[in-house]
Amino acid sequence: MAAESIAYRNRWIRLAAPWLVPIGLILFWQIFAVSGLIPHRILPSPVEVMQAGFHLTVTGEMPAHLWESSQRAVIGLLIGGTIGFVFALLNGLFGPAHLVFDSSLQMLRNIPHLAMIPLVILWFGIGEPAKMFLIVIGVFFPIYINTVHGIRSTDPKLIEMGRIYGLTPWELLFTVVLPSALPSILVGLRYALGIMWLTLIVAETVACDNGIGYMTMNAREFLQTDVVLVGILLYALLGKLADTVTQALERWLLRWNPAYR
Amino acid sequence: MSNNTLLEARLVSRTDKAVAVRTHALSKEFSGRLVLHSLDFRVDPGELVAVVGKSGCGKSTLLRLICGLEKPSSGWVEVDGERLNGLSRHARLMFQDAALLPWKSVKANVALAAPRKSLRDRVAEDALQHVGLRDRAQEWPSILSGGQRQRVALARALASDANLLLFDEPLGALDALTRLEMQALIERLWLERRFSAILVTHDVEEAAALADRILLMEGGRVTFQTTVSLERPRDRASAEFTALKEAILERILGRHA
Repeated sequence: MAAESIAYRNRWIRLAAPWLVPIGLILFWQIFAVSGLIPHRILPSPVEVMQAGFHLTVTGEMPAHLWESSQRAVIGLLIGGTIGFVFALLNGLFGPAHLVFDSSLQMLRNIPHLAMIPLVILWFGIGEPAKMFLIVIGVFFPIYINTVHGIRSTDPKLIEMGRIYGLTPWELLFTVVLPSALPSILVGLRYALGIMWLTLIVAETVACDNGIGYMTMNAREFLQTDVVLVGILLYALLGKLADTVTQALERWLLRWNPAYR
Repeated sequence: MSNNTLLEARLVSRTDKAVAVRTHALSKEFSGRLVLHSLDFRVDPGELVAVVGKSGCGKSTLLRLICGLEKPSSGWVEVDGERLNGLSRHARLMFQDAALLPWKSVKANVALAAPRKSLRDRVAEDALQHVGLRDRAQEWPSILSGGQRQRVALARALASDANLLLFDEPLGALDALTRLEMQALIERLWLERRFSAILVTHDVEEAAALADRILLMEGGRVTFQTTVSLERPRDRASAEFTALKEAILERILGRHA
């Protein structure tokens, strides 16, 4: 009985524990803001930020920006991820392709993709293609590198087993190689999502006329610190949401693996 | 009961499908090092031959050549009267590691070996029944013990209609008790199905318990062979068994001279 109640309490403690720090911080923040220790223009109180967020939602301004940003993020991720995945298949499966392409790609990887911004603006101006291009390059590398790594670290014994049992090359790819690479591919996806948001923020802040980045930069000009904070918190939420979704995906796709149960 | 006889009938009909293996002056070289020296070797249909020897004597290489995973440097392998070119369609190799796909259920692992796709599920269930793991069909391989995994690998080989089973120390990583159980299982399946089999092992007792014929390999050559005519199942405590074991061990350890 006692052991049961401890286990029960443990479950609640485990659910609550990750929230302690954020909630504590917000409480502190509220107390400081209300007491007037921090000037309003530097840091409005959490309640004010929430009000600003509510207001922006009701007017439809924030949902519109959110929609624009998400669209950019998802399309960029799909394009960059697909290119990365196809290159990874090519270079992971065929030795000669790896020999020809990999060292060049590794060289390009060492250029921080945000350093390309001036060049990208020269090429594409400040329109949609520029932002898309940056996101595509940003997500390409984590997907590419992790997929290649996953494919190349497939257990050779399993491939031999598949060949002995007469699997065709397609069957080998889909029943042996790709499932074996999947944990690595998903790690790549999580990295890519992080980079996707980062790139989006920077791209929208540099030059844009919609999106969350634009919303915050615009608010800065009007000294609306609360709106800036809404934007920042929104990024945090979106990032966390993307990560939670991938983690759930990981747990489901890798349920055969004791490490993910 | 009727289900059982049906199964028996199906299994018995396989008997005549066991294949013969011959190697002709088979040599294999890895970067200048000769691993097999012009080996002439034969397995008759339905025969269980054990190959014993110290590690590095070339016994694993021999199996890899016979199933076609490696190409000979010279000489050739003949399976069922045909000269081997590429992978053998008769041979199934079992490694020390069961080589199960961890992302597929036990049953799906066995089913992938079944030659006719339409019968996959039934064949897999039959095969699992034979190794005593029918009730674990839906589990992930990761939760099975080492012995159970090897049973699944064995079921997979059975499901594939194998006519020639090549065992590359399949029991090497198991504890002594599980190993005895697995040896009994292999013997029972072999008696039922009479596939041809080559068992590579460094356990002399295992060879003496299971094989019709025992070959000793040293430095890429067969240096000794003996036919075992003891009755099955073999009594490991009998004087003949012990004498056989001692004789082989003495050959291996080089005390025969």
